[in-house]
Formats: sequence, C-alpha cells, structure tokens
Amino acid sequence: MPDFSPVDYAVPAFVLLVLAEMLWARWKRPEAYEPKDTLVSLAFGLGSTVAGLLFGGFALVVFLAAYEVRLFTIGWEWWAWPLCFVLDDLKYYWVHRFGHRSRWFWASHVNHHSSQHYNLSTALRQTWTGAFTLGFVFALPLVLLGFHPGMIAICGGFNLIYQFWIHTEAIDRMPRWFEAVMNTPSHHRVHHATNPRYLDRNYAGVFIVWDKMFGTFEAERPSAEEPIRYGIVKQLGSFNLLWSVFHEWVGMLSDMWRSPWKHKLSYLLREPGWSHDNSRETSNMIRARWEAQQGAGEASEPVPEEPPKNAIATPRHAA
Amino acid sequence: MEPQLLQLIGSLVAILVLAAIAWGLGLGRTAGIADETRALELAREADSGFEPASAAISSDGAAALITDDAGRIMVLRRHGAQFAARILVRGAAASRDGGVLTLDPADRRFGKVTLDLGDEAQAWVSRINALDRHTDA
Repeated sequence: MPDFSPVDYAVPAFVLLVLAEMLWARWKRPEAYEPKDTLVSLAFGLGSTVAGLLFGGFALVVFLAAYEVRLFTIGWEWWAWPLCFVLDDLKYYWVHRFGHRSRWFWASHVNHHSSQHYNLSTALRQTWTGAFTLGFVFALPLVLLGFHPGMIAICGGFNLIYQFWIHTEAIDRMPRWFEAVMNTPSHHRVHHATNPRYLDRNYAGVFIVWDKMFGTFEAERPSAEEPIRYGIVKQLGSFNLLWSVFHEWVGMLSDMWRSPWKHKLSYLLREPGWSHDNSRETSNMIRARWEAQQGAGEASEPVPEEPPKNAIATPRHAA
Repeated sequence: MEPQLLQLIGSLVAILVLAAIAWGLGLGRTAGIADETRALELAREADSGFEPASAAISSDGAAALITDDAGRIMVLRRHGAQFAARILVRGAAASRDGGVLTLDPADRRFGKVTLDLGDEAQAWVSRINALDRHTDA
C-alpha cells in the first residue's frame, strides 16, 4: 500500500480557507459562523481522523483479500487514474444515497448534516462511526475489477478534498458549464437543506451528472424566492459533542429495542423517519405533504385537512 | 512523544484557536424573535407540517411558544445563531415564578427553556400541563 494521503497535505489549506471564510463572514454575514458550532464541527473532523486510524484497518484487510481474487490486473497505469476517480465518484454517489435512505447508514452520516450552519467548517464535520455501517462494501466492485485499493484510497482522498470548497455560502454560482457537470456550492447547499423541496436531493460528490442521471437532481432556487434552512428535520438543539456523534444510533437502537419483533429490522434498514405505527414522517412523506399544500395553494381551493394520528406528538426524523 | 500523539495535540490546539478566532471576530450574532410574525415564520421553518396560529414571545426574544389550530404547542428557542424547536409531547411540564415560565419539554438533550411571558405565563402553564390530560383522553 502506498503511504500517501492527499488529505494530509490539504489540511493547512483547509485551515487557511476556513480563516478566510470567517473574515468574509465578519464583514458580510456574521451569522454564517457560530463559535460553538465551529468547535463541534472541527472536533468531528479530528475525531473522524482518530476513528479512521482505529477502525479503518478492517476495510483495508477486506480490500486486500478481495484484490487477490480480482478479475483483471489494472495496475498503476496512467489511464487507470482518471477512470478510477470517475468510478469512485459513482461509488460515492451510491454510498451517499444509501447514507440518506437507510437509517443504519444515516445514523453515521447524519453527523455531517446536524449543523444548522453551512460553511467550510461544516465540510470537516465527518462521522466517527462510518466503519460500523460497512459502507466500504460499495468499493468492492472496483477492487474486484482490478483497481488497486491504494489507488482507490488516493482517488477517494482527492474526492474528499474537492468536496471541501463546495461547503460555503460565500460563492453564489459558478459558470454555467461548470454548474452543468460539477458539484458546486449551489448544488450542495440544496443537499444540506431541510426545505421539503430539497430533501434527499443532490447526492453527488464531484460530478453532479450522477444526480441528473439517476433522477435526484434539484436546482437551487434564488434565495429571495426560497431561502435555505440547513441541518436536519428535527434540529439537535445541542452543542454536546458526544450526543451529536451518537444521537441517531441511540434513537435507532432504542426504536429497535421497543418495537415488535417483525419490525425491528425495518428500523435498521428502512429510511429515516419510517415507523411501524406511521407516527413519524419520512422525507418522501414530508415532500408529498408540502407538494399537496403547494398544489392546494395554487388552486386556491380549501383542501380538507387530515388530522394527525397523534395530535400532540408527531416526531419527524427524516433529513 | 509519538508523532501521531503530537499531531493529535497540535490539531486539538488548532481547532480551539479557530473557534476562539470565530468568537473574537464576533461571529454568530443573531437577532432575537422581534414579534409574532417572526415567531410564526420560524415555527413554519422548523416544521413544515405545523401551521402556526398564535405565539407568545419571551421578553428577551430568545424563545417563544406557538400554537396551531390542532391544539399542538411548539417551543422555539435560540440555539447559537439559529433557532431549534420541539412540538411538546406527553410528559412536558411547565411551572411559573411570577411572569417567568420554566418549561421542561421532556427532551433532556433539548433542555429546559425559560420564557418571561409576564401576565400570560399562568395561562401557558395551564395549557402546557393540560397536554398530558388531552393525550390520555
């Protein structure tokens, strides 16, 4: 395995860019940063690095074993690099989509979304518990095809570096051709939004074309028309780092513990917000309700309102 | 000392410095809840399924209680430079000391919320504590 991690070399640039964005916020949008939120996000980043060192070995062992039974030997040819980068980004799209559509994966990925702010420090808000979701399995097809695990890791590192700069409100739109092909601050703001229209959209890492190809793309509306709200549907309301890290795992395991046997697995595998008694809402349900409200508004006809199943408690967990 | 441990300590110091700079630059300032219109807007943003009807705002603008037509009550409170909300559920309890209402939303991590509601405090205490009875009914 090559002893090279591009992210290590990018860290000083990350720090300088966060500082630059703070200065921009000082003059333009003081509410774009919040010191406690920044501290939590950066602590997530540091803890994620430590967790990677502690738990990343298992994935490496699996990759190296899989590489022994590869179909082809691609090696370290020059042309393999761009091909690996594009295929790794396609893999990222799907693992990211699972991260939002299966509660098991969401329990880990929610960490990246739980800030109500959207700035460069949010990009560093990375999970500590990714190893417990087996997300690395999505990379196995690349290994079995014959891409060296080291090459995949390096491409993944550059993918992560690319995604850093798109976590900002300081950039409005990139040139049109760029917006058409690449993931941009505008596209990724949509991904971090809790507005019903934007829920579970724009999963792309580097190339936004995957969302357009697989039907999950949503363009950002002008902020004057629809300002974005960031975070998760049920905001944490806490800066407690450990609670921020583990809250969804606690909620999921608690639901599995309390639910009837035949529903336990659904609380693990189905989408966030799913509940066996229909007392909560998934992102699809929230969007459908919102679309119905919009339709009713446009038609200017009163629509009979269906009373909630539980008038007092309708917790929502989707994001 | 191990290089990795040194790197860890250095990183820890760096993130504390960055957070301190954010604080020193005065970032994170936010306006409180100025009036009922703003409270209702924040409630709608917090939960698109909650159609707010009326609100009572704490005199410091840091929190508000909002009702909808279905009889639900939402508590909204400042969280850093943003706001976080909870729709009150069975187990939520309120008490009053003069015009200051203390609400325990039965969500330990969200924490208790204190609102200075003046003359309205007692009515809200009764309303919140009645949620248990309505839910059990």
